Amino acid sequence: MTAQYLSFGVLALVTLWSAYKVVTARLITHAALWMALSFTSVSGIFLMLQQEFIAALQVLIYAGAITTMIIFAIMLSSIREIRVEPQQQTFGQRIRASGLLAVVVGLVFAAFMTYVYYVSEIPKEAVPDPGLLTVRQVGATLFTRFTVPFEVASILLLLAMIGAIILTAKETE
Amino acid sequence: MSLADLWAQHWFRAFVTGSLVLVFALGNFYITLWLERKESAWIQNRLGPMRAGPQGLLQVLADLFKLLQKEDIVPRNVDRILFLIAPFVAHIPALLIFLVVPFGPNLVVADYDIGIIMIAAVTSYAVIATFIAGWGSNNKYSLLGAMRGAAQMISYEVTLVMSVIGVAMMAGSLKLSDIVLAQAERGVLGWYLFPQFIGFIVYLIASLAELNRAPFDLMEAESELVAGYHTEYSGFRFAIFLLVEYVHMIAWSAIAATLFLGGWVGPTPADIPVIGPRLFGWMTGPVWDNIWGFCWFLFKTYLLIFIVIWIRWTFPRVRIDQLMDLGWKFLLPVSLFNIFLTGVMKYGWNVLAESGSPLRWLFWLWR
Repeated sequence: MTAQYLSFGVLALVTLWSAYKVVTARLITHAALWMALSFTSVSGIFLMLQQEFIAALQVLIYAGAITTMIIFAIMLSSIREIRVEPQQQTFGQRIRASGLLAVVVGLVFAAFMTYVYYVSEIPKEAVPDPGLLTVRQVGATLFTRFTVPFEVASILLLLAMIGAIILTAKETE
Repeated sequence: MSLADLWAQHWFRAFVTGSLVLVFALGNFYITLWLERKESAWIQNRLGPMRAGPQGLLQVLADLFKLLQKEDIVPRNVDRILFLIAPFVAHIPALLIFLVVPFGPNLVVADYDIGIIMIAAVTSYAVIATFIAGWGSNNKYSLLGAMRGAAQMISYEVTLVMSVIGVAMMAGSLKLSDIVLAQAERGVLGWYLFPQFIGFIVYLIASLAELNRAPFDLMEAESELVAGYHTEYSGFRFAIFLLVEYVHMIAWSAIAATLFLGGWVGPTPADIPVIGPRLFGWMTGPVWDNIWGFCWFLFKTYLLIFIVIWIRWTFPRVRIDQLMDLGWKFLLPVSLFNIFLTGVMKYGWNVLAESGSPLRWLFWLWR
């Protein structure tokens, strides 16, 4: 049990720290790489929950595809480095300006999580089957219960793809 | 605490099996590197390394020792941390693939239910590692090579997964040990090489591109990019990139042997018709099954490694636009067609299997 808490703690810390670095990293490429690390440690948490399929998809789609897409987007744009302007304001002013927003957002999120924690029912005894989400189950659910959302999402992706092609085709003309 | 108790502990078992995989990968890296030099020499009508050891067997050791002796140069303007960690990040996916490969009937490190998806997932770190190396080097050639490599790997990863889906459809499972068992039941002619021949060819081409091996080694094309993303690397960091390249090659060959050539399935001496059971009957049982399985697995893997090296030394390099056209306009539609064909044929066999119709033999291969 302690090993579980320990590994969860490490994974959570890595996730949070790398998420923080995504926002604060000066080089935009570093931000993309920190994001990959963050996604990877989230997939580790999925592995701890014995959801191998979700963990693999997390790595495949987020750490792999999304990060690479972002890297390509960075390479296509001209922004390389975020320059920090020398601050004219005092420390107190800065805290008030940026800190207030952070505190409000944080409080809202914390309230939401607490609400979810108290509202959701935690099973009293161990569930016989830990709800292992196999590929078969995911596929069956996608093609029965969630057919319409699945197809709508596909059309959305198709539209995005066509849009990207049109945008790049215009540039070459 | 006895050894059996220790073996029951998860951490101990993970440590031992992980170390064995590492040793397997490194040992085969050595053999493959030697094989590449000898085979290229053979194709180019020369002898290759002959001086160090019999048939130049120690030449690889000498080369690696030379690389380790060299100064580990870190240029002044590189992105220091990224430059230093890149070879090690590149190391991760190459070794993780071996976790799901069944070396024998009971020789799997981690038999995940999602074997094939896991392989596809960990491969994505190879792209990130390439990018880290290219960006970290702070060199135009490195960055160009890395971006090319990233584009190439992403394009061919889609094709690779699509070509393997046919196998998963035939076996009804993504677990690699299940796929091997399904092939064992079908006999030699039932290896997925035959019903999935299109898939196998697509897999072979796509894995060459994924490995950045010639004729698709565009990210390190000497005539255009010096050495691509490892232009700035020297000494043991370069050696690690070399190691990764070959370990990756062995891993992809092992996967191909498992998916298409039946993995560890193969006849043993005890299967020889008349004299087999009498002479070699004692060579049966779980331990011997694993030994024979491992030998067959190695044989099939090296057969594929041989083909990959053969292709490298006989084909000229393609251009980047040809590469992209091949991937997106030819291989991807072909692999999609393969999925369609497999579905239709499997359905046809399911429908006609019970009937006496002679037409059913048309679908027999996809049973």
